[in-house]
Amino acid sequence: VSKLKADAARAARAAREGVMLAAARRACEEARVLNRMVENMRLTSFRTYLAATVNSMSSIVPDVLSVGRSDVGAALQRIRPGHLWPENTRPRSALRGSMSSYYNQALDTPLIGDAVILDGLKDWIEAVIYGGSLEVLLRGPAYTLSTRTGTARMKLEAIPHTAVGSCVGRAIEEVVDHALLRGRGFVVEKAARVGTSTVVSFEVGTRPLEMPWAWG
Amino acid sequence: MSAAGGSVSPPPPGLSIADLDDPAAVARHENVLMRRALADMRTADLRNHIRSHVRRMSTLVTTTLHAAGIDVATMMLGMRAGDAWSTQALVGAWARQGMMCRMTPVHGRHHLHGAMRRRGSFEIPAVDRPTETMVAEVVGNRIEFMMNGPDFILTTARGRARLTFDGSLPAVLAAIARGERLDRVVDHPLLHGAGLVVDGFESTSATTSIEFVAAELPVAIPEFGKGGTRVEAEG
Repeated sequence: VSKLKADAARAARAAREGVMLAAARRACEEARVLNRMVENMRLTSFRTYLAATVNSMSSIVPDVLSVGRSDVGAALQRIRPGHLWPENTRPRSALRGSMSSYYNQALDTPLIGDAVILDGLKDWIEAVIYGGSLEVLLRGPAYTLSTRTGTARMKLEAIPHTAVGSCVGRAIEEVVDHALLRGRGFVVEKAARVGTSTVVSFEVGTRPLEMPWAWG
Repeated sequence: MSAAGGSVSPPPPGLSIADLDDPAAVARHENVLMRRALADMRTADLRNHIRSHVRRMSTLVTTTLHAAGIDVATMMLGMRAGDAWSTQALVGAWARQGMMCRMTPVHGRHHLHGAMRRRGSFEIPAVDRPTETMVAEVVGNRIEFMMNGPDFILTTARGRARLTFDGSLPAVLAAIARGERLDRVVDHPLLHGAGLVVDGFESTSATTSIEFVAAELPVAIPEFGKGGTRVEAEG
């Protein structure tokens, strides 16, 4: 009799656990549906925002994207909102912005969204929306090329201090030989030693840009 | 809207007609609406679960609710589902205790730990013990009790309670403590005079845990009503 009782108790426990397991599964499934729904709504809101605010890109953006076998349209389709968007679009007070020019720029052109275009062993390419323009980041084995509203910035291995100053005013090809920058008439505007690397920046200009999707 | 079910969500603040020309303001507004809708849907899901599964409740919840002057129906309406509700709803028994670690006082008050806040729970106000946080939490088919103090954690699971505090006690004490009346081992107003007896004792190099029986009672599930899921009293 006691064995029968134990069997019955075990069966009852198993049934209860089965019910709770089903409840857990249903709850997880519901969460998945909710998350997918919210993600879609957020993407729709994001693309409407991009169509209304993004209108330019640095001129070398298409060339960098083509290195990653992509183009502007495909990159824009892949861009997803950054985790701080849309809260970081809130206008900042003048006080906070005046702390430094670097900080100022970071606040005026917040990171809206980004996408990884290429994550190969050698090169890494990112498409990023800063403020109202599309920018790229290309990280190679020994250099990093990034753009910000018409200005490109290239981080290289250190060159001697004495040579840093003489870079300014020269064509970029004389300082660094890179297929993307050859023969386009870019002239180094600033050069500086930053830590263990040298940073040169040069003007590349901007181009108008329109979102590939219609107004939402 | 029905009285029990609460009212419709109030409009989010800060969007005027002029803002409609500002894409950023519109995006922020949409974000607020979306998060609110998500919270409402999660809460609806939690209520669904409570209605169809929850049957028992720890008496510690009843006692502390009574002390705070809140009835069970109000607590049920105040239950909120956090973003971990669905995936961790059924993490049971003592696993919950491991999820909570040290709490640090912020602004003189112990903040609800993430593991407590992010699932289906209701915070019971600690009337005269401001350093403690008490939570009634949905775990599987039960409503369990959880309390976090400055130097201890008390959780219930399936009719038993475990009290964990800092510091090691020698094994000799363990032998004495087992079978001893609880209020002679730990001094806490919640555990006074309930006739509880220590029946488990475990001490590691850093912490000591005491176990005892914590009764459960069947719980009446209220009609949640058909109105919105938002409750007026929400802070």
